This record gives sequence, structure tokens and C-alpha cells, in this order.
Amino acid sequence: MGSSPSSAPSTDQVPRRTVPLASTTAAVPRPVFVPSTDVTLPLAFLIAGLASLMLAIGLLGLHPESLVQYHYHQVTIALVHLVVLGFLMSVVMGATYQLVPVVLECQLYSPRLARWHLPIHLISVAGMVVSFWTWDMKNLGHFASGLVFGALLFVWNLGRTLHRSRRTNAVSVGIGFSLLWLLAVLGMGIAITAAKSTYELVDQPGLNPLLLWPLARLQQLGAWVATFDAMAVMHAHAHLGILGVFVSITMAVAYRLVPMFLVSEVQHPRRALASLLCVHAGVPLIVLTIATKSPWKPLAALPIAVGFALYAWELAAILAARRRLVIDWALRAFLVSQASLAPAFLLGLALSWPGVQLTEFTGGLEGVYGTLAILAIPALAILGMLHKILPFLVWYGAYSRHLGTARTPAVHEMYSPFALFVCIGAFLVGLGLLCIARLQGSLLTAQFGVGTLAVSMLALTLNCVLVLRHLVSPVLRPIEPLPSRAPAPTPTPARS
Amino acid sequence: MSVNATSAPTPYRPLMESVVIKVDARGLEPPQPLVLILEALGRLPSGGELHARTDRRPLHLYPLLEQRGFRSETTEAPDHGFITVIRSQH
Repeated sequence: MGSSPSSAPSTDQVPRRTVPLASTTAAVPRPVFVPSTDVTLPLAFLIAGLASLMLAIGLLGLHPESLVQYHYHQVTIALVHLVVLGFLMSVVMGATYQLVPVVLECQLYSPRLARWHLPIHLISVAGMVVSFWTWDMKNLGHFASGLVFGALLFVWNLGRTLHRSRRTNAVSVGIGFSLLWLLAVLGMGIAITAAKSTYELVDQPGLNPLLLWPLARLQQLGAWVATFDAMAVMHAHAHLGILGVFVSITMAVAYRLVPMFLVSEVQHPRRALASLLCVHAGVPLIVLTIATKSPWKPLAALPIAVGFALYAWELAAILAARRRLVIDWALRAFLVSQASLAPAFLLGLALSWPGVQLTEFTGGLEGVYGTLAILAIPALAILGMLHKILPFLVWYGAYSRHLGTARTPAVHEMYSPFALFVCIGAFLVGLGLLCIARLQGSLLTAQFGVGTLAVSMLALTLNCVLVLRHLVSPVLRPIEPLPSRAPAPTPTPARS
Repeated sequence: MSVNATSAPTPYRPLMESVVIKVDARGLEPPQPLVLILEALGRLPSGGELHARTDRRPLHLYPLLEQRGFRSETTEAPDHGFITVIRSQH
């Protein structure tokens, strides 16, 4: 692309009899951003994320009792972190590395940092899950520090990219805030671990000051966190992660992906921005009130309620204005996940109401709330969008260079729609069964639920294999020459 | 001379007149606009131009055009979407 930026279409060519495509065109600088055709890094994050989810479902099959007991249990916490950090975080990070430069039309600040981030993230998550499982708080702290280091690379890389792009819209603002909450939730996780650790090295004489200083500060931090109620701090940590990072980043990205796949536009950019700002304004309020066991929790949730309402309004407007009528199962899954925000919010509101005591029933409701917050909202959203993003990444990596010289398969031909249907359908049924099992405390229902989720994972695996095989053996056919005067296939938008 | 992407380019053209192929890729889910534009580009005669209309700035198209020796200019359409004019660098 050798043309100069900001130049309008050249007219210094030879005479033409063409009708201009647009009578007046506002010249905009041609973007200097060129997306990379190398999709290896986001693919690696995505595949690692999917493997984590499958491992988590497999381990749930071995320990279904973790679904019916109260959630403050080492196996439950280990599995939750495997899903949240191994699946959700890995996929979000991989997708962000790919999506943010495209959304912001700006090169990623440092692809090299992103490549370093991948092994640091994966090793740290694996170590953390094992440490939770064995309740080894000291090693948990070590691996969590590795995770924080990787996240710092991620936030620095994305932060510099956001700064470079200088674009302010709902997507960039939403992602920017989510990066801040990501650092906050990881810092909070380290602080909680510090509160549960012992510091025998601090009292050892002759300890290197370089090691003594951070250890002493960590000990002080842990002592301060220990003054709070342990469960309240853990719940605040969970809300900061799910709401501040995953829900908000999903909302921001939805404003880009939903219009793109449904051929629509954000109808009111200010409404979209306001929805995200409300949620982000509510995050610190809700985290503080939960951590301090304040009776003002329902009031603190008010900005979040407004943000969710504005989000639903804008999504409905985007859907109403869509030019593609058919909504496939991948997008349906995403929309169902976003609709789940409403029952999850109401349940959270009821559980946070002043005077509600922890009983067997409310404990069960807490379990349902957690299941919705982790599996129904971010996990289902990601499962749906993965069926869009993964095939596109593989298609772009395997076929983009062949376009125009050979016939390539369409993206939707790369996977089985039936397997997608089974994946989403079984996931929803499994989710429902897990909620019932949590309410009833029924191990049998939990086992059925995990079995159904396993069916969903099998269907997901099948589709992943079908998609990824195109990287190994691309399916290329020769382009048939167009018959003279015969009409070629034309794009047929569903609605003009 | 203007030809539609939906018909084959005319083999004969008067001297000093360039061929313009128009592709309307609006209303398509990604990556179909990319496919449509690059397939039409394969039928573009030397010295011709391709005008592609898309709903969004075709960011993934640029590296592929560069690899194939084309240059492009994208302008925002006043009504909706973008117009990308593609021509050979040679």
C-alpha cells in the first residue's frame, strides 16, 4: 500500500466513464495499521483456554461433590480458578491481543511482550490451580506473583496500544477500565494469599534486605487484609474479577462484535458509553461494600443496574436495526449469556439485602449465583463467540493468502452446525442441572449436570478439531472461470 | 468503462481507458467482503481499478493487497460505510 495518507481517490488517471460510487466522500487518513496475518499467538491462548475448560469439566466429573458443598472448599476454589484464569482469562487475553488492534486500528505495542506473556500465564495458572488444590498458600503466592507479572506485561502492552490509538469510544473506554480492574483483582488476590501465609523467613537473621523488604511489606499487607472478614473479602475479590473484568470487557466487545456479525451499527454511541461508565462506577462501590459487609450493598448496586439497563436497551436497538435477520447459534448463545445478567443481578441483589442470613437455602442460592456468574455469563458468551472467532482466525491464517487464486471454504463450513447446536444446548441444560443440584444439594443431579456439560465439551472438541484441521490440510479448489454474461453469485443481504 | 463484479470483464477496451470493477460487499458477515473483493480482484485487468463498498473499514484486506502488489485508498462514504479504491502498484 504505497499511497499517501489522507488522499482522496486519485483522478489523475486516464479518462473513464465510471459513475462515482459516492458523490461526495469525506477523505479520511488511510490507516497505517495493518493487522498481522500471523494468528499463532491468539490461537495458542484460545486453545489453552479451551483445554482448561475441558480439564475443569473432567475434574468436576471426578469430584461432583464440589458442586453441592459450600463453595469455600479447596477443590471448589481450585476448579473455579481453573475455569476463571485458565479458560476465561486465557481466551479473553488471546482474543484481546487479536481484537484490540483491529478495533482501535492501531498496531499492538509489542508482539514480543505478548509472546513472553503466554508461557508465563500458562505456567502460573497451572501452578496456582495445583496450589489451591493442595492448599499450599506459599506456592500459591509464588505462582500468583508470576500471574501478576504476566498480567502487567498484558496491561502495559494493551495500555500503550490504547494510548497510541488515541481513539475514545465505548470499546476503548470499556477495555481501559477492565485493564485497571484486572490489576486490582490480581493485587487483591495476592493480598488475600498474603493474609493466609506464614512468614518464617522474615525473622531469620542475616536475610538479604532485597528479600526482607518485600516480605515484610507483604506480611503487613496480609495482616491488614486479615482484619476483614475472610469470606467477605473473598466475595469482593470474586465480584471485582467477574464484574470488573469479564462482564465489563464482554459488554465493551459486544458493542463491536454484535453489530459486526449482525450487520448493524451501535445506535446511540453515548448510550453505549454511558452503560459502561455506569458499570465501572458501580464496581468499586460494590467491592467496598461487600468487603466491609456494609448494609448499603443494594444501593451500591444501583449504578450497575442502570448500566445493565442501558446495555440491554442498546443491544435491543442494535438487534432491531440489523440487516442480517438470521441469528446463528453462536450469537444466540452470546445473547442468552448477556440476558443472564438480569437473573444473576436480581439474585445478587436479594442475597445482599440487609438481614439475609446464611442458611442452607441461601447457601444454595449463593451457589446458583456463582454458577450463573461464572458459567452462564462469561463462559457461555465466550463459547458462543469462540465459534465466530476461532474459525475466523484459522480461516484468516490458512486461507487469506489464497483468496482470489483458489476457492476457499466459507467460515461457517469449517465446523459442524449440529455440533455447535449440541455444544450450546447441552451447556445450557447442564447449567440448569447444576443450578438445581446446588439448590437441592443433590449429588445425583450434579452428576447428570456434569455429564451434560461433558457432552457439550465433546461437541466443542469436535468443532475445534474440524476447524483446526484446516491449518494442517487446507481445502482449496480451483476457481471456475465465470461464463460470459452469466451472473455470478451476488451478495444477498437479508434485509436492506 | 465500468463493469460490475457480477459480470466478466470485457476483453477489449479502447486505448487509454481504464476498467473499473465495482464490488458492493455491504450487508455481508465477515469475512465474506474480503472473499468477494479479492476474488473480483483476480479478474481485474492490468491498469484497472476496483471500487469496493463495505460496511466497515476493510482492515484485514490491506496486508493481502500489499502482498499482491496493489495499493488502496479508503474513504468514508457520506451515506454509510467505506469505499476502497484498489489499483495495481505497477
